[in-house]
Amino acid sequence: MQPVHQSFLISESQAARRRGPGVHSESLTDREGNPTKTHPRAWLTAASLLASTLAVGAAQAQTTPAGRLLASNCFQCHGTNGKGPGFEKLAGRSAKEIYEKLVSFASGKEGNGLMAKHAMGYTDAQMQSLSAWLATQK
Amino acid sequence: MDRRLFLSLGSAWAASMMSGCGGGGSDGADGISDSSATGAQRMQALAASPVNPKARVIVVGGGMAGATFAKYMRLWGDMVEVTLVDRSSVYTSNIMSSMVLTGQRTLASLNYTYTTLISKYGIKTEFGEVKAIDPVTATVTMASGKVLTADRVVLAPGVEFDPVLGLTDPLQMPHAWKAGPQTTALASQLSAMKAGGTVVLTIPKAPYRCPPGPYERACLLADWLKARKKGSKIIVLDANPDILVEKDNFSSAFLGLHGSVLEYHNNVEIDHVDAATRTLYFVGGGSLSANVVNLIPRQRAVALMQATGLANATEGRFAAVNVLDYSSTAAPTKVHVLGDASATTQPKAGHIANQEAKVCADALTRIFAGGSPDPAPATNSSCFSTITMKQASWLHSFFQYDPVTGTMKGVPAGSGASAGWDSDGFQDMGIWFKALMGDSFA
Repeated sequence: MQPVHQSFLISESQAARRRGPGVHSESLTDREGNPTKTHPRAWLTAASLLASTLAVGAAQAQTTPAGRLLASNCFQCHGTNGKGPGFEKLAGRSAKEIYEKLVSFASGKEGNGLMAKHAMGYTDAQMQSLSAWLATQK
Repeated sequence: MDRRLFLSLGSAWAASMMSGCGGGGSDGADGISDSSATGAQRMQALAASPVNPKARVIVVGGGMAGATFAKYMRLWGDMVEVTLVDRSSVYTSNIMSSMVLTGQRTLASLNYTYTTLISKYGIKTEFGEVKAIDPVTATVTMASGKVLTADRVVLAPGVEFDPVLGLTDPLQMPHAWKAGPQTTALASQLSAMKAGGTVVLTIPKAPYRCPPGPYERACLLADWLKARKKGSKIIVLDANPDILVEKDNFSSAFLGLHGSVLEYHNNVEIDHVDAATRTLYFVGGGSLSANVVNLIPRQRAVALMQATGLANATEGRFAAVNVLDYSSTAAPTKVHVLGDASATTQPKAGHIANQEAKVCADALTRIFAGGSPDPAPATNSSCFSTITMKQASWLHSFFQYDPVTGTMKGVPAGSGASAGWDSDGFQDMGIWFKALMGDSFA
């Protein structure tokens, strides 16, 4: 079975083994209480996200780039600024590549590994925001 | 005292034997690098503490939260002077330290210094005992008499342990819950124990540092006893009503994999001990003697915080904070409390302490620039548990700020554990540890 997206965060062999025998979850609802079977993160459009990102960016452009604090949740396992050491490096990738991979993890298509759980914690807007910031890291 | 009955075992997935993978070795990290011209200039500027700082911060405690905060305050803040204070110039990681008990790691392999934080991020250090903290003036007085002042004081001093009645020398029944001499003492006692002996591990009432940690250690020691101390057993006495986290995995391991050498008893609280005979006496009656006792007492924020009125939550054990910036509710404009010493909905654990530190550093960066903290932070906790000496499970939880309650609220969809354990998990644990320590100390 072909993966939906290019698997860059983990290798295919790793992905296969990490799909593993399934996962125990406390609940099958997202943080708004909606069932996760219907995709829970379609409620904020890219356009509105872009607007809010620009607004925040204009106010505090010098000191606090949008998405940086969210993206720092990645650093414990992927290294400071996504540059390693650790699991796959995130720096040097496009926002689209990172975002689509996160969406794929959150959808469960990548199995029930730790990264799937992690991705399911974010809102769609957060995934877009942190992906956009990570793309600034070369 | 009843043998705990497990109503739900979950799927007892039998892991096939796989080749062992080393999680050890040097976990020194490379740190960040930037080869571009402006990046090089930026790194050079970062390496020196600012001569005319726009703001000054003192960090007390150089563990997972304190070290991470110091690094990110310099990395993200604009000309902020950061002084890290600790009684020791070496931090010994609690994470992975149970493997010192089984001889799989040395204590020295868990040592981290602040040399990279100093050389790469221009962090100032002050090593010595802290005598007093003034939360009104943001002043820290060292035992040497030296007085440090700043705009903000960030406290990340970790936990202290409740005294245990009858235990005058804590090394007689080591907790080994702060890596160091306690770990060495417990390792020696375990090593010296004859085959056929009994080990007791006690789990304190929550909240305590690293929720899965005692259960993980019980599994690891059970596996070690089977291999090295034939006929021995480990008895787990839990002061809590049930296994607190990752119940499916630990239940399965306790009753299945390790069932022949491990007993688990819930609702057992230690009242006092007789250290000479290594006997534990329980609240409500009953006692138990053993050859080795790993007694993990209840925990609280350090005495210094009790003395300054900052430990104002959890029956005076921990510090209430605003999780948007980790400011103390007792001194909101001067003092911030990170990591295990704070009282939040998040676990007391190194991985999430690292993220709390980033939230605080980001908030102070904004505050020093005249702004407000990010109104919607997210945090995550990831960890791995050694179910055997060569296999591990994983546990993850995710938190989003909830403006209604003003707390970090667990996201159910983003929280869960592996269904079972394997050698890949053990290998991933080694990668995770190296990355986490690099993000915190390098």
